[in-house]
Amino acid sequence: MILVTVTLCLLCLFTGTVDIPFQEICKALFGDESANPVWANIITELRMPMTVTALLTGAALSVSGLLLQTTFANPLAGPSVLGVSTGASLGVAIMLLAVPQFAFSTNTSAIIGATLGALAVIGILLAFSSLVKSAMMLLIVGIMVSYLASSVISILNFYATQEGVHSFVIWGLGNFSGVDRETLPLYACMTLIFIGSTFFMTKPLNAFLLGEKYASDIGTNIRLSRNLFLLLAGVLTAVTTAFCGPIGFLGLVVPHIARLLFRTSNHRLLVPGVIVIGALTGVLTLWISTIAGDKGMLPINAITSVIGVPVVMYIILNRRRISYFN
Amino acid sequence: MNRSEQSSLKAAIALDDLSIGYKHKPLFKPFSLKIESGTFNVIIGANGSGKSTLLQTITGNLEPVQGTVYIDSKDISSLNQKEKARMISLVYTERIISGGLTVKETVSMGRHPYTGLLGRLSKDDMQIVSNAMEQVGISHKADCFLSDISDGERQKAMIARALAQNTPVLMLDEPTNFLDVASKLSVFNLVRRLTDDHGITVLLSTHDTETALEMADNILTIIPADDTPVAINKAGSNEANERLFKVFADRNITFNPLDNTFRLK
Repeated sequence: MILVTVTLCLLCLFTGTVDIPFQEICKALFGDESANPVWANIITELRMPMTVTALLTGAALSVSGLLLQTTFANPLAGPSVLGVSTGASLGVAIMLLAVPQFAFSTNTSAIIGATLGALAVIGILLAFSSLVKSAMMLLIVGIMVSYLASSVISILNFYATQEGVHSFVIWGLGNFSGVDRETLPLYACMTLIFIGSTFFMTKPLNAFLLGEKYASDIGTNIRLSRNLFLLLAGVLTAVTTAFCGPIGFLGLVVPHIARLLFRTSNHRLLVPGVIVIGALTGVLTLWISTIAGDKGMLPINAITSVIGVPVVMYIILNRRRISYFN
Repeated sequence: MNRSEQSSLKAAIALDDLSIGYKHKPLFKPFSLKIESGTFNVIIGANGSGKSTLLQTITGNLEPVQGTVYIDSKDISSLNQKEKARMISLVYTERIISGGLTVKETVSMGRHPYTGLLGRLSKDDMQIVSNAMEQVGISHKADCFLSDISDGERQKAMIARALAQNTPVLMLDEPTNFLDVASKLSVFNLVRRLTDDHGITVLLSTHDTETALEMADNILTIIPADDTPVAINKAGSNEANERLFKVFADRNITFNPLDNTFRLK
């Protein structure tokens, strides 16, 4: 598995809109002075950060999806279902569309907007989490918040300037190139810390598999654990959405692939499994997005849907036989 | 903790001037009663009479409208979640949602109240888990997925999980509802054996009255309209039979103490 991931990473470094000979890539990677400066620049400033971003984003979204599926005991829960990514989109829409003077520096304002928007939705969900007892109700609240945010986005779009709409649409396509080499350490730190803290939650996560009643009877603090899961899943989605745009399907699909491959629902295995497969899917998506060659990069969300939809269909049709969530 | 220590864990349950219900609306008059430690007690009552409400109140998951629940002379509301989990284990009717856990993984979760942050099992914990599976007779399915075993086996796995939790009190809320006759009998037999061998105090609600009345030590009857809505009597005693007469009396059903059956009048 890790081998495949490494191979894909290398492929991502080797292929792109500009053809660069193999030797030059090696030179650039190992910091050889004789490397062609333009090519070296492409490798270290563009492709390398993009590949690392794809790895981190894939892992982060997948862990977020796993947390949500377990919290809600629902195989179709995922970062985009809960309204967190729509919340992030709304934040970005407000920054780019309602305040057009921000539109000139799309990146910074998108990051600020997405983080605020996602955190707002997490706040709403956590507030409701103490009011409503059942996870199912909470999921519905998430979906409703998501609808509400979408309609506000439509209204904003209606009144926005053309440039604003354009930059918003581009952001919405999702891309792994939003993190440059300067912001990469920050992005890596944030995602890795939050991904890493999931390892400390395997015990309550496993307890949740028995259902909230049994989980509570074996001494799990349901409300506290649920809030922690939501907060972690939300922050992971917020961070990735802020930098890469709303990337669909990854978070929903990867936990299922992991369950099928590792043949278990036990989070002790599933958490590391989801991280590896998530990272792998991330770079796979990135690599596919570069196949258009010199025409540019394909939008990430188009690819995640192509990978994701068949998997979701398979899961729905084989729910009985797969039986991990019967 | 080993098995001999487990048998020394005994706890009586005392309900003192207890009124139960949801949202501060009592279901019926307050009542008091005592359940002796190391006995097998069966709760019998009509649908909606408050069997589950009673169980949930005794576990402390549901706040009583008034009064106090004492387990082993400790006020249940003063215990935190982990302390409660070391006192009471529960088995429910519902199938559990996830099928992707093995029997062994599920039974191991009974050790959660005793393990640390990461839930790692010590050698002792693993021994307790395999003992629990052995006693319940599910060891041969230890590595099977929950989704691959029968309903009866799944309930046994959940009982093994409760056993691994090593609590002096075991409560079962209609555990045999979806089981065939053979599985039903074997669950009742198992519970009887756990009471006798380990001195666990068992409280089981059920609609399988015939089997229950035959196997239990005491019968706890719920008759909401009665002056004493909840009472506990020795199984087979005149007092118990009198109470059983009244359980479905309003629906034109009578109780025959000779063969422990309910019949239309």
